[in-house]
Amino acid sequence: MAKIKHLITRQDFDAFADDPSANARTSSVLQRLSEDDGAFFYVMELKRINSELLAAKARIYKDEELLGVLRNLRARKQAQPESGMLSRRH
Amino acid sequence: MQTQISAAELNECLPALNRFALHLTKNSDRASDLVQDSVERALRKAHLFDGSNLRSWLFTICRRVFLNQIRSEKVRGVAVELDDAPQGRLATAQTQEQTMHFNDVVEAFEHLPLNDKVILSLIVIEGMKYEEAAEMLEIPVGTVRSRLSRARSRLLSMVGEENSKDQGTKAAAVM
Repeated sequence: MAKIKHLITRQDFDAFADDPSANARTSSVLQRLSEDDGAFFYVMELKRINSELLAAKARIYKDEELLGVLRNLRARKQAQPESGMLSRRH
Repeated sequence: MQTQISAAELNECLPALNRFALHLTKNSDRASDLVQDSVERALRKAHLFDGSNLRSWLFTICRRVFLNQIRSEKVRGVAVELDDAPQGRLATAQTQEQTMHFNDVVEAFEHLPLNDKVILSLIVIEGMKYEEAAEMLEIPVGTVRSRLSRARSRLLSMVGEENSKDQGTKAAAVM
């Protein structure tokens, strides 16, 4: 049990909050979340912030500088040969 | 060791369990369902209870059931009986506290360095997988994870500062 606690990093919790099904260590993370209030509320807070940022998409994308960088990245990606369609996770 | 759970002990824990479920779900109907599912599971697994702290054990079960629900909702979506749901319940107004938290998060995001905004936008708003973001940014996946983690740390600390300022303002107003 103690070993599992040491193996799970904050980045594993981040990955779980972003996409539980894509996290290779989901079962270990779930076990930690069921035992550790701090970790549990951290993940809940991340999920809440994720949904708030998603809801604020229109406001966030008013930032011309950010939008410009994202457009450039997308254009560069599309210009690459063999570039597949980017799939949305949500 | 096999332990029986008495109805009286269980009843004593229900109000606290209900408050905990409400805290998790932020919705009274979902909280009631969560409590029911948790109690059902507790009764089915009563033989696993070690007899020490029933409340703590119930809370642990409640959290696990809630996490399982989140994971399955992510795949299935939330089932809603439109005919049964009163119109007023379909649109739940945000509380003032939730609105303030929302504004704090968005304002903090706006003040982040550009690199933090980019990584958060790709993962959170665009919904990209870490591998996709790594490919787009031409960096290793591990770097995506660490950049994301740093961006979140900054965001969370900025939101925390905003909350501290608000509390300070409220305290000053009270004084």
